[in-house]
Amino acid sequence: MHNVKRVQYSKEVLEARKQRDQARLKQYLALYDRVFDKRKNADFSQEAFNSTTSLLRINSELYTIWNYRRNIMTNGIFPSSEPSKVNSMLNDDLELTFELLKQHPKIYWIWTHRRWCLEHVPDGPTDDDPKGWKTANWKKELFVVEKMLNADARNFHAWNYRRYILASMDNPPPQTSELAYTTKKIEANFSNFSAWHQRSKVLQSLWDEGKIDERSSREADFELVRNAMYTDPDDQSVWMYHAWLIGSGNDLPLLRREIQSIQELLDEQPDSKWCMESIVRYKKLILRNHASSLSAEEQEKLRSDCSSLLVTLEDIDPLRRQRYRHMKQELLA
Amino acid sequence: MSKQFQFKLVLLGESAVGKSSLVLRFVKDQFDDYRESTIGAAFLTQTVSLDDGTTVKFEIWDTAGQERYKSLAPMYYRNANCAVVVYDITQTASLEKARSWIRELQRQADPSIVIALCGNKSDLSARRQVSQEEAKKYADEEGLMWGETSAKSGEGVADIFTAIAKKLPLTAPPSARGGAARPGASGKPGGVDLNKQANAAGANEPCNC
Amino acid sequence: MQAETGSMDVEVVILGTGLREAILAAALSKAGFTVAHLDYNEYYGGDDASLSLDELRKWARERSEPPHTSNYLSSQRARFTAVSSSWEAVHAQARHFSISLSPTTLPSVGPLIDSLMASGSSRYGGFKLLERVALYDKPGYVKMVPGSKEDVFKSSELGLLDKRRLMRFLMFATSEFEDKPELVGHEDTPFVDFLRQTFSLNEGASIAVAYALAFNTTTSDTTLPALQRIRRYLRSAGRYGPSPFLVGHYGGAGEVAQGFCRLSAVHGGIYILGREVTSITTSEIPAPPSSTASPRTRYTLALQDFPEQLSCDVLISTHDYLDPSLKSQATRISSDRPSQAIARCIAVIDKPIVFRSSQFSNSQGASEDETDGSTQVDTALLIFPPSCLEAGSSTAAANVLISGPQAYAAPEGHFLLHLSMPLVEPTSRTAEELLKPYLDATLSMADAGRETSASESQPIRPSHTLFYVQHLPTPPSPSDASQSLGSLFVPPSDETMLSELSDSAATNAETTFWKVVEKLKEIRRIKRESAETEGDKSVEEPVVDSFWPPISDTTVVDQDW
Repeated sequence: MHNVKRVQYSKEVLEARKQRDQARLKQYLALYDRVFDKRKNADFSQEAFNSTTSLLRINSELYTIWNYRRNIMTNGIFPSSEPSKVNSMLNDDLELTFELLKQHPKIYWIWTHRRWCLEHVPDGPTDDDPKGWKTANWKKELFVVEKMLNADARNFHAWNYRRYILASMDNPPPQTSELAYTTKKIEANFSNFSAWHQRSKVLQSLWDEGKIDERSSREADFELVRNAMYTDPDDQSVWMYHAWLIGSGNDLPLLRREIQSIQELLDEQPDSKWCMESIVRYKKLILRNHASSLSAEEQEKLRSDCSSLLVTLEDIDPLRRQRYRHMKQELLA
Repeated sequence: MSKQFQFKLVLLGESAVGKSSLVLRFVKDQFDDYRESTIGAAFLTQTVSLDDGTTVKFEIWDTAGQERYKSLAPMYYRNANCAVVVYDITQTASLEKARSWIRELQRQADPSIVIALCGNKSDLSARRQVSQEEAKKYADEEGLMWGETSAKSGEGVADIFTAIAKKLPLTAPPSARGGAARPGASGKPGGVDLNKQANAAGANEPCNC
Repeated sequence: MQAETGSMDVEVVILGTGLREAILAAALSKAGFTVAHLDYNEYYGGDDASLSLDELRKWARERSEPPHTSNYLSSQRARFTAVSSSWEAVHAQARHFSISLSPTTLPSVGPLIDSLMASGSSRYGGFKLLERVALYDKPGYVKMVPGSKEDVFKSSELGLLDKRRLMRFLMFATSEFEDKPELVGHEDTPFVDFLRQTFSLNEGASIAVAYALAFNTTTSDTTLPALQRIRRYLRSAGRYGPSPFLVGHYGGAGEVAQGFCRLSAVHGGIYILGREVTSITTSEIPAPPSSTASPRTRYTLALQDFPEQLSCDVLISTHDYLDPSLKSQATRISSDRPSQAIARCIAVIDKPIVFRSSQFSNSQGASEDETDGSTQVDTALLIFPPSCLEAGSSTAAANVLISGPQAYAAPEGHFLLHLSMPLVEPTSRTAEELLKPYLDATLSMADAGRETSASESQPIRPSHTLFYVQHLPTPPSPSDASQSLGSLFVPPSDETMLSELSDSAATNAETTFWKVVEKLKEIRRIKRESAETEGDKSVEEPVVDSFWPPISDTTVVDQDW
């Protein structure tokens, strides 16, 4: 009968699986011991190299073995190899780590090994074109990191890595295209601290180099972040970006305008703790930087506004009660 | 890197010519004298490895009895790359039926479909009613492959499927290459595989709830 | 299945191969019951069928000709009225169209998807993600509908406060809102009013939410069901892509019905298409003398051009196959569906539809994809809310499902438009009069081609159009519904709303399944009690624990040879 057959089948499958797993574990432990032995004996042969490959495929978190692998390459294989062989081996390792990253995108040692490979690409292919291999590898690398970010746009390692690649390239794509990249990622999901962070770096660099007009660019980004804020007032990364845009708070009309906008949001969404917190922060900035343009009454009003907001914050965000109390004390000092 | 192909193969023919037995022999290498009509599977798969290293995976559809009262659904013919039309060498009527199936295929299926006419029950040659000559002549006229088989003894079964496996890649549409998902299923842009959820990783939370 | 003097004997006969009945047939066959499944038509799918151009023409003709002797056709003629068509000469690729009689969008999370996967029928068909939902704005233009946080963020049509309010509503809609204060007391309020009053959504946002997220069809549609729909759809978003909806290849519902029927056949179901049921007779089989059971009913069906008679213990049928006396005997499983008529139009065009938005996002460093805010679509939904067209309805919404080659609904270069609108009040206007304004408005969005500029482009004309009104079977009155269970079942009618139809078919199939199984178990028990069937496998106690039995891994054999 239908059901009875199914139960028997499952039991058999389970037993078979158990046997397979036990056999695999035995194999792994044997391999592990073998490789560590070779390392202890400073074995830098091709065979040792191959055994590290097998071990790392099963367990990519073995920092010591990645290190050992690099030692084998540097001390054992590279010295007697043509540059083209070195380049080819490094390319193989780039492929290997790519495969492993697909399964374990956050294991730090895999990223560091990739960096090492890229940094050790020899000059070539020819004397006339010594950067050929390097350029090709960096370009490919950018493509790889984009794939990772497509799979998980919030992978902090991947963003870091992206910056590292752009910094290492001889001819990186223009900052404006990087700006567009951050726009794309933010539009897809603005709950992405890394994307905003990257955007701030790119904009700063573009402003410093005078490549785009700072004023209109800031305005446009205030518009962008305001839209994000109103769409989801609970998203912390948005508020952090806003604070970066505000900067040191030297522009009084700007501060006032932004506080007004946040206040309107708070009126609409009275329980938003980030709104309250930001208003306090910005009003404090006014007090600190622009006291000279304020009357005594105005200053007092700002202080009391902040106080009452902080009292509410203590209530709705009890985990940070101490912080708010501290801020209140600072105010009155 | 050796080439891989995946093809949909449909069976046709009167009931009792032994279509299901033929497939069972090909896929499981079994024969059951008393087996009733259908196999009870959505479709069966079997892979053939050719001499040059190419692998051809067949996704074999049996009629499930729907042909009995002319109730085969258009879905049956959809994207079929090849059809095996089976007749019984001991029953002339079954060859007649086979002819009408072939006309039906020419009407309903893709024009490039590879059709193989298969005379089953060759182990019963004592009771033969359909000669090899007449069947082969008809096959040649219509541009069909032809062969005789015995699901019971296994004779000829491997040959005919291997012959089909060799011919198909030559006429295969691009979607059949690479052992990809079922032909036609995700061939066009936007096709969705119900068993594969989209790559989320936080990308699609509607309200961040 | 034993041959007894020219009669085919099965446990269940099902009349009609619509989606609901197809699912039911597959479930009953998989549960081990013997099933014969019939349809008057030569194709699968019944009222949900996918038809080629020629088949559609024939379908329309059959329903506009004068009365017929067959119950099925007479009933169909009464239910499909005001048929009018305009047909160009024979289309070279008529066979490559798969035109659905029941256009539907399938939520990625829901009873039909569950049934597709649990039954194994998902292997038969392909699906495409619905690309877009848009609201008609003005001739040639649409408004995009924000359905996710990302959409709301990017929208340049919503002001800041509107964005906040809309997000607040969307978050409410995905929560367990049934007991929340915002809703309590307002469950029966018209939904648009609720949105404006309780969530302060502006007119544009309320219309978008009511008609393009909840898919309300009239201005009086109430809040609770609308919220429940929105929650279901929001929970479906993201499973296979941004849109919550899938559209089935080759006409959707009809193809899915074929898949379930095949599944039933694989598990022993017998399929007989294209035969008229000429008579259905009821007979009573007295209980054996020793038993305390009551007599049971048997049904015997005679079919045209068919050698044997069919007899069964349980008969399941849609309304169309039953004459009034049988209908009065039937156990009609009720649903809350109000009877409604729908005006429909099917049109074939040879230019793609382009969704052009009059405003589009223009953020700094924007990506190059949307330079002018327009996108050509293949599989999309266009909604006309009430009162958006002067010549249209002020109380009903119309929707247009656009499908093309990527959904395998039409050959390359061709597209199908499926329009539908509920008839809220009785009207003397024909389907064509009611829907022409909507068809013309949709055609204003066809891409005439790059060579013609906007000013000189003529509106394109469809090569084939069909208009008709579909009437739904009247639901059973409360007194009918609670009968003692006989052996004749009429399953409940499905929802007609495009986004609900397929899930409703699956739910109704399951409801009917359990009632039928109860009856079949009872009958097998009676048969077992009579000594004649000792050792007979066909009257074994069936084990039916779930709607679909677990899929055993041995159904697909895969070996290397």
